[in-house]
Formats: sequence, C-alpha cells, structure tokens
Amino acid sequence: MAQLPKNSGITHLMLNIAILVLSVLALSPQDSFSREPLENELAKALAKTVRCEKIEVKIKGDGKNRANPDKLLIKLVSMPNQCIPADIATLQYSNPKIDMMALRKAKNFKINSVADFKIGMLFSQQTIRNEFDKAARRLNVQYNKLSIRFTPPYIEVEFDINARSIPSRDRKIVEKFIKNGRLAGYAAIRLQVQGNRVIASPDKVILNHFRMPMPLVSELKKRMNPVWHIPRIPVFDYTLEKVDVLKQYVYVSN
Amino acid sequence: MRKKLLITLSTILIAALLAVIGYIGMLYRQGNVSNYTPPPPPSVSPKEQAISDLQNLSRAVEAYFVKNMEYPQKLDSLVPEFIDRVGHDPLSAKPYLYTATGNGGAASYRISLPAPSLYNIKECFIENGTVTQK
Repeated sequence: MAQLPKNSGITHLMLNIAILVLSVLALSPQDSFSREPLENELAKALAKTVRCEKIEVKIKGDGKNRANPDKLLIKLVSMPNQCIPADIATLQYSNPKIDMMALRKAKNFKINSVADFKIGMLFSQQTIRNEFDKAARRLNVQYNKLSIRFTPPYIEVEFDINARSIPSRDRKIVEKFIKNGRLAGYAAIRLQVQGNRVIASPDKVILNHFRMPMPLVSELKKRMNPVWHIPRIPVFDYTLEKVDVLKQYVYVSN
Repeated sequence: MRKKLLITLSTILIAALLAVIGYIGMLYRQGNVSNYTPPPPPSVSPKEQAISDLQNLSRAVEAYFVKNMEYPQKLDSLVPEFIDRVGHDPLSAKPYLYTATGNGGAASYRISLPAPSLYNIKECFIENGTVTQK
C-alpha cells in the first residue's frame, strides 16, 4: 500500500510522455506516421487528370522538407492518343514548392513555385509511323508504301502514294513528277519545334526518279507546315522548343 | 547581217536547251534509288566537329534521362537506343570523358574533351546542354 503513490506517479509520468510523443507526431508537417508516401499521393493526384499507362514519381532531397524537395521527377509512360502520343514524357522540377493543401484536401497536383522546369518527351519510330498514318487518313491520302527510318539528324521516308488522292491544291507543285498516277520516292526530313508546333524541313526530295529542285522543295515546305501540333499535357505549363532525331527516338524538349 | 543574228540566236537557244537538258539530266541522275540517302554533313573543322559531338552526346544523355529518370553511368549505355556509337575526339582519337554524379542515381553529368590543349584551349565541356570553353 505504501508503494501505491510511487507507482501512480510513474504511471502519470509515462502517460504524459506518451501524450507528448503523440502530439509531436500529430503536429509533424510530413504526416509520415499516418499517410502513404508523398510520391504515391502525387501519382494518384496526377492520375485524375493525366491519362497514361503508368505514372512514376521520384522525390530527391535530404528528406527534411518533403513539400519543398531539391528535385521532383515525374515520368508518364505510354500516353494515349487523346492526349499526346509520346512513348515517355519526363518532367523535372528543381526546388518545387508543392501545394500540400491542394494535394491533401482536394487531391490535386499543384506546384506553387519552381526554380527550374524541364520536360522531355520520346517518340518511337512506331509512334511517328502511327502519326503519319493518322494524318494520311485525315487528309484522305492513300499510299501503297510508307517506310520511316531515323538517321540522325534526319527522318528518312520512302513512299509510294496514289497521286489522285493528294488534294488538288498540293498536287499542283508535284504535278510534273507524277507518273502512272503514282508518286513514289524518298525524302530526308529535318524537324524543328516552335511553340509546340512541329515544322518539317525536307532537305532532299526525290519523286519518281527525279530530285526535286530546291525552290520547289521550299514551296512544299511552306505549304505542308506545321505538320503537327503537339497537344499540351493537362496540368503542366510548358512550351516545347527543341527537337532531336536520335537512333530510335525523336526527342522533344522545352 | 540577218543571217549572223539568226546564227547567234539559234546558238543561244541551243545553249539554253542544252543547259535545261543538262539540268534535267542531273536531277534524273540524282534521283536514282542509290541516292536514297540523307545529304552528307557539311565539312567542318576538328574543333567544330568535337563540339558538335559533345552536343550530340549531351542530347542523347538527356534523352536517356527521360527514359530512366537518371543519367547514364557511362556513355556506352546510350548505344544502340540513342546513338549509333560513342565516337572519339577527332584530333586525339581518344574517347570523350564522361562523369555522372548524384546520390541514388546520377543527377548531373559532364562530357569533356580528352585533350583540349590540341585545340589551344584549357578546358572544354558540356553540362546541361551548355558548352563551356576556357
């Protein structure tokens, strides 16, 4: 009986410590005790607006302030045609300030400020080929052959097109080269990007065994461009300005 | 007098006709299937070539980052997906120097000339797509 007050004192002290520890954990800005990793939260928030097969998020930094890391990397894999047909797009934020309120309350991805932002996209040969097919279908152009090869810095295209299916406005330029209702040949094309629009610059065009003179190639360039407008991925704000043809990919970046 | 003018005119006409035929012949010859190749690259000085190589390698490294979320540990990792071959410095014939740094995957890189003194410079490298010469 004499020891009861002492035990009661220890119990009281331990209770106080437990309350203190729980309070500290509850007030922790990272909420690391109760929540899932921030990477997953960001990926889930992005999945609400960005449609793609897989979203990968990496946060790099010392881990002290997860809402303001050194780097935030987001990789979007296989984006569907409704959005942008890139095989892979990677976004790099340097010193971003992630809006944790928007993320936790509304499950929205929002960056309040960033020191530097980079975006890069890779388009494979098959994706470029699919885009050619889509453009041909849209313009109702029929072809017997279309092969695409990446030879940096060029995209080489070999084709055999039904000349009658070419719109009359564009056919005028190539009229003299048409043989047996066909337009078969080769083109070595360089790409440029200006404000999300892709500009094709043919440096060499061969039509039915004749090399196309450069003044006609320039006229063709004027009429065909821009060949493609790369849609913007929702949520992200950027302007694509650079393009490079690599061995197996076209690499587009800001 | 009239005959002389006629001869001159016909000579000019024949010359013009020959020029047109020659031009068409050249376009025809250049349109052979064996010419289904990209235009050859312009000839440049070794220094311009070396800097162009650094820029091409840098673009491939950046593209590698897009796919892997980190920079490659060595330039050979870029072959064959991003480049055909790594290549060598045109004057020294040595491979370009590459360093990648960072914790938990390379987060920054530098590609340098192996023997910059051959180009009368102290140092030449590329980082984040920017070429620096000292």
